[in-house]
Amino acid sequence: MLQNYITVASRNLKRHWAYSVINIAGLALGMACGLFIILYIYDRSSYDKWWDDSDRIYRTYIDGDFLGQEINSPSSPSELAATMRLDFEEIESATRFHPIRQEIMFQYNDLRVYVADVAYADSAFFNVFSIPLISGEKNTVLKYSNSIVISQRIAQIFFGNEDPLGKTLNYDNRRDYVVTGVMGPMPGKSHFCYDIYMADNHVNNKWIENGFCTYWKVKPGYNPEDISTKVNNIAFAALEKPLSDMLAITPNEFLDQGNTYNYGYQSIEKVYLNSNLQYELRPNSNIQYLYYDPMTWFAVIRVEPSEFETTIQQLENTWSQVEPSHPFRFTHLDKDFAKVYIEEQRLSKLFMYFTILSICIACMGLFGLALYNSEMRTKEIGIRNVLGASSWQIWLLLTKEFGYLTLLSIIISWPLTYYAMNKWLDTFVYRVEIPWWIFLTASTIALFIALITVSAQTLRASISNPVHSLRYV
Amino acid sequence: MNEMIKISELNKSYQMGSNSLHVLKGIDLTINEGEFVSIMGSSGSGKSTLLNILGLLDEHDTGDYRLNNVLMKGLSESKSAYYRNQFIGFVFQSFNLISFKNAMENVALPLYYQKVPRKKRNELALEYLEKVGLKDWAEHLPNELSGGQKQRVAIARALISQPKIILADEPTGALDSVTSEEVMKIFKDINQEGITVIIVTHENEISALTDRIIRLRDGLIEQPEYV
Repeated sequence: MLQNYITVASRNLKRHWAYSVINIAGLALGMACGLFIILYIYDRSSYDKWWDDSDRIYRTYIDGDFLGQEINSPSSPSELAATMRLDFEEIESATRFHPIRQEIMFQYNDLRVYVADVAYADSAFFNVFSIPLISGEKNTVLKYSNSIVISQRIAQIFFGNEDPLGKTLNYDNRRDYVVTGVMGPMPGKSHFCYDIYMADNHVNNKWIENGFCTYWKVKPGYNPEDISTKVNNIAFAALEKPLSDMLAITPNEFLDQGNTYNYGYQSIEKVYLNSNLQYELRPNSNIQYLYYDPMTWFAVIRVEPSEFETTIQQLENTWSQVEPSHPFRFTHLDKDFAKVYIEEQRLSKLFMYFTILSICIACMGLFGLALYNSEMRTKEIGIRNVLGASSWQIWLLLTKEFGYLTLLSIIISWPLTYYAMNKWLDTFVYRVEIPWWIFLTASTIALFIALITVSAQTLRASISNPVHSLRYV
Repeated sequence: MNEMIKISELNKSYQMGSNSLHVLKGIDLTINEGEFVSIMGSSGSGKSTLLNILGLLDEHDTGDYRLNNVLMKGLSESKSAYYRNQFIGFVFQSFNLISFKNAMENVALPLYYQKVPRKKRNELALEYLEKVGLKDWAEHLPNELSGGQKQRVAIARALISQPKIILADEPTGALDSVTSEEVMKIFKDINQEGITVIIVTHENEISALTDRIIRLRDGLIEQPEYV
């Protein structure tokens, strides 16, 4: 029976081979696109879901208007994590870390290397985050002020096959750290990822300063909303002294003046896709990343392209005389900008691939429609031929109809595209205007592609023998 | 009398896979202007092939074909279309009306290819519909017309470009006897206006209404007979 089905199906496919090819290829392309989109969505939504108890890990962020300055960032006071650990019975563990948003020079013996992803973290970091430790014990690796935990990659760079534990890494000619732990690769993707964590358990008791990222794991059965309320109450009470010292006002007067000051919380599972705060841990289309780098000192130099090598050599020579303790390094500003927009570049590549695929599918659909249309109108074409229409006139008639269809589609697509583009561009601090000629050019190209697609079929139909056409039922 | 159609030693073959089917085997035929002729023959005798060649819908292999004293040989596709439009009106057994155009638009269609303005061609279409008694049906689509009405619309369409010849392929094949007689009367009237009418039919009653019968057998013309 099955064989019979297959035989009949293959006969049908052979009989209508053109339709079969178009339909199967279109379906295959569409399914490939669909699968790709599903995989892409799966990948994007898998961020931070692999942590142990990820559904109970939250991040505190601040949202407010402080003396006319809008604050909206994933930062919190230095003592929040410790307070939560000690005073909140609902909290299983809490940690804080502070990313250093610049490359830091580390030195082991004579080897000096700049490392990009470095952060300070407190001793509870590995209690909250289940990053696998190849060596070291999670409760103690960041306990002492000179402890440092490094990734396997960094360990390989500095120590090769030697055991890194107990080795001393110098931090930017300022301080020596002792390696207390080595991290294995992260089992999944996360909105943050650092190669080096340096111990920092210092608390400055200034609740008004928000410089740390605080993450906390709530015990099962407790509501994070209640915890957030408690955090706000404590923070508001703690504001009294600094406000009195700095501005000579009470917290209530502070609020009466129109200031707002609120700590919110986000599930770690939703940070990557849903959070778009200022100063996120990784770039997410926010130009401010470029300018928030208070610890970075650099000189911006415009170099004549033809003199590039010579100029860089001169700069390096001068640098080694002035600052011999740090190796000279430079970056291209355009590449730095490109890093900020890496997600956009990735998206634009995806857009390009899907645009090409969409055009292919649309062309196949259009070709199928042209094929179907000319077959349905075979007799009409024959009649028109008999009545004196030339092939050119028939071709023009059929192609013109598809031209109108394409024009109608283009007109419908304009407001949709304009709306979508505006929505997307709104996510940028600085945005370009959408010029009218972009629409015109894209539409002309679309029309041209559509006409090329249908022309082959309409031409075939127009030159067909009218005697055969009139026999068509 | 002017020779409207003159063919001599006309041959036509079709390639059927590796075999060649010789359909018309050296036909000689002359039809004068104003004649009313029927072509008869059994199925496969070559009568439709002959009609297609006469109507410039198909090309002959060898021999000569002169239409209104013009040699029809090596014509381009657009030239054939031009001659069809200017000289020949076609009427088919299955009417061949365009289903989404109404009766008036169907009749006016040949004039579109003569670049006659829409208003003028619609006026003329109504005039010709009146001639075949269908002016009141001008706005109707083909599926709203009876078989006889459809054929009358098709005849009006064939006449509107004022052709010199009407070629009708089994024009009564899909009609009942009463309607067939009505249609043949219209053809007779057309012929009396001076237009050459050639009808392909296998019905003796129909051929008997024409002035001359040409019988085809195995790709050759038998002795012509005058009615």
